[in-house]
Amino acid sequence: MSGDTSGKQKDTRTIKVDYLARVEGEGALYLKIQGNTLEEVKLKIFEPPRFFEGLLRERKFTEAADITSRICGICPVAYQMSAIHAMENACGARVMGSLRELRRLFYCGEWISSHTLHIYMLHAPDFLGYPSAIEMAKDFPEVVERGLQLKKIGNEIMKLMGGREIHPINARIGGFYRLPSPEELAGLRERLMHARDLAFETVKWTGTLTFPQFSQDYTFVALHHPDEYPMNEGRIVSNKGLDIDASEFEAHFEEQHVEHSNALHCVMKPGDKSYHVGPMARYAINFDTLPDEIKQAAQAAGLGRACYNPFQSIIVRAVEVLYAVTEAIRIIDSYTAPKHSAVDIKPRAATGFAVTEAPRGLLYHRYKIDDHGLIENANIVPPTSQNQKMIQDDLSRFVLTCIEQPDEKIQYLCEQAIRNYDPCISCATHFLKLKVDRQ
Amino acid sequence: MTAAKTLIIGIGNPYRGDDALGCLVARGLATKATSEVSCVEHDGEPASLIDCWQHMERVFLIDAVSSKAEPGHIFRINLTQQVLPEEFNLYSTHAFGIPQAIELARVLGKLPPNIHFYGVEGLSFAAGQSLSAQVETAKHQVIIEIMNILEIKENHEQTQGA
Repeated sequence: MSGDTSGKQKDTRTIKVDYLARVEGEGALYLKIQGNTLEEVKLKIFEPPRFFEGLLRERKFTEAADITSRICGICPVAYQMSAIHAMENACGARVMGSLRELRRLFYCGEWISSHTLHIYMLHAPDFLGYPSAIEMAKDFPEVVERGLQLKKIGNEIMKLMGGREIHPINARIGGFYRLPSPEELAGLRERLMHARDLAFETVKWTGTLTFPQFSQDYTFVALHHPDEYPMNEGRIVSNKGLDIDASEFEAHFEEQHVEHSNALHCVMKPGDKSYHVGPMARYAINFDTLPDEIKQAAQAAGLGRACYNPFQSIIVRAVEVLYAVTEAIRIIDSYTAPKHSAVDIKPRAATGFAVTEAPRGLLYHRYKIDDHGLIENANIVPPTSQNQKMIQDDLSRFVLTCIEQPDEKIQYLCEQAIRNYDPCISCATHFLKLKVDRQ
Repeated sequence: MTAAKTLIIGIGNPYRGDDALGCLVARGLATKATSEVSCVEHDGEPASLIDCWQHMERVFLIDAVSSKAEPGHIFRINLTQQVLPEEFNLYSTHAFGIPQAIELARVLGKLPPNIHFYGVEGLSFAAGQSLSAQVETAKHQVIIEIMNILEIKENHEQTQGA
C-alpha cells in the first residue's frame, strides 16, 4: 500500500490511497472531507478495460468457457460454469445426474481455494493487526499453515476436475472432457476428511476475532435453490422480495458507466439502488439449506440466521468453506460414474442466460448464438461490478464512524472495509488506490 | 551429479511470449537430468508451490521478470540469503504470488536449505508469441549454468537443441 496525506486548507483533509493492498487488480480510493462531513467517496478502478465480450463475438459457442475462464485466475470455474450453463440454456439442454454433481464438486474446489486464500492470507491480518500474512505467520504459524493446507485441498479438486489449478480446461458444454477415476475420488475423499476438521477449526477461529460494530440494512441478492445451498443453479432472490429467473436479470439490474471507474457499476432498478452479492447474501438467503451441523457451527461462531456486519464476512466465508468441504464429501460418497463424460449438445439460434455463484457472488452471463453456434453478442456481469456501489455506500457510512481519527487510521480502516468484499478488480474491468480530500 | 534431492521449477505461461522462459528451461533440463533431479513446470500458485519443494535439498526457481533491465539479462538470487526484489513484477493471482510464497515459506520454516532464483528479463509477454531472441539466448545460458552446477555432462550442441 502506498498513500499520501495532505491538507489544502486548515480544515481540509485529503487522504489518498494510490494502491490498495491485498486486493486483486489495480484501484484507488478518494475521500473528500469538509470539516467532519464526508462530501465524496470514489472507488476508482483504473485497471484497463479488457473487452472480453467483444472478443467473444463470432467465436464458437463451445469456446466461451475457455475464453471467459481467462477473466480471473482465482475464480475461473465460476466463469466456465456460467458460460456453459448459459450456452446449454440457449440450446435448450439441461445436464443432470452425476455430471451435474461433478460440476458442483468442481465449484466446491473453487470456493475452498478462493475463500481460504482470502480468509487467511488477505483478510485475517486486518483483524490481528498485521500488514500481511507473512508478518502474521511469524506469530501465528499454525494458523497460516492451516490455511495453506485447506487451500491445497481446494486446488486439488480444481486440478482433478479442471485438469489444472489455474485456468482449468476440462469443463465443456454437456459435461467434461475427462471424468475422475474412482481411485482419484477415493484419494481426494481421504484428504477432504482431514480438510473438514481444518474447516471446522477455521469457523471456530474466525468467531474469536474482534470486529468493528457496523451492521447495515443490506439488500442481499443471491441464487436460491429449494434443495441445496446454491452454486450452479437457482432463482435470483433478494431478502426484500425479488424472485426472478436468470433471463430477467437485465430487466432488474443495470450496468452504468461512472466517470471515475473503468468498471461498470451495476445497480438495481428502479432507483439505481446498490445491492450486496457474495457470501453474506448467499448465507442470509439460503441459511435453511445448510446441514444442521454447519448451522450449529455458524451459530457457535457468533452468526445468526443472517449476518449484516460486513467485517464478519470472514466468518461467513469460513462457513462456506466448511459447507464446500462437506458437500464435496457427500458428492464423492454418492457418486456413480455416468456412461459418458459429456452429452452431445447441438447449437440453435437462441439467447441463453445463466447465473452461478462465484466465490464473490452472482456471476451473470448472456449469449446470443446463431444456428451454427457462433456467438453474436455476449454480456458478462461479474460480482465485483455488482458490489462496487455497495462498497462505496459502506465507505460513506463507515468513514463517519472514524472521521475524527487521523488520516492514516482512516486510510487503514477504509482498506479493511473494502477487503470485506474480497473485491476482484481484474474481474470488474473485465479495480484499488485512496485519496481523502479534507476541506 | 552431486545433488540427491534437487528440483527444477520452471514458472510461467508457455503461451505468453517470454513468460514461457521458466517452462522451457525446465523442459530443456528434463531431457538431460538424471533421475535424482526432478523438473516441473508450475503456474506459480503459492500453496502448491510451497508444497512441491518440501523435502527437497536444493531447488532452482526459474521465471521471467519485468524490471526494466535489458531484455535477456539474467538475475541470479540466492533465496536462502536474499528476498526477491519488488521491481521484478512477478505477476500473481489475487495479490499473493511467488515472492509471498517464498517469504511465507521462509517464516514457516518451509524453505529448502538451498534455493536459487534465476530470473530473465523479458521483452514481450504477448499471447501466442515465441521467446524473443534475447531471452532465447538467456535460456540456453541458464540451462548450461544449472547443468554445470549439477555437474550434468553434455556437449554444447545438444544443449542448443533444448
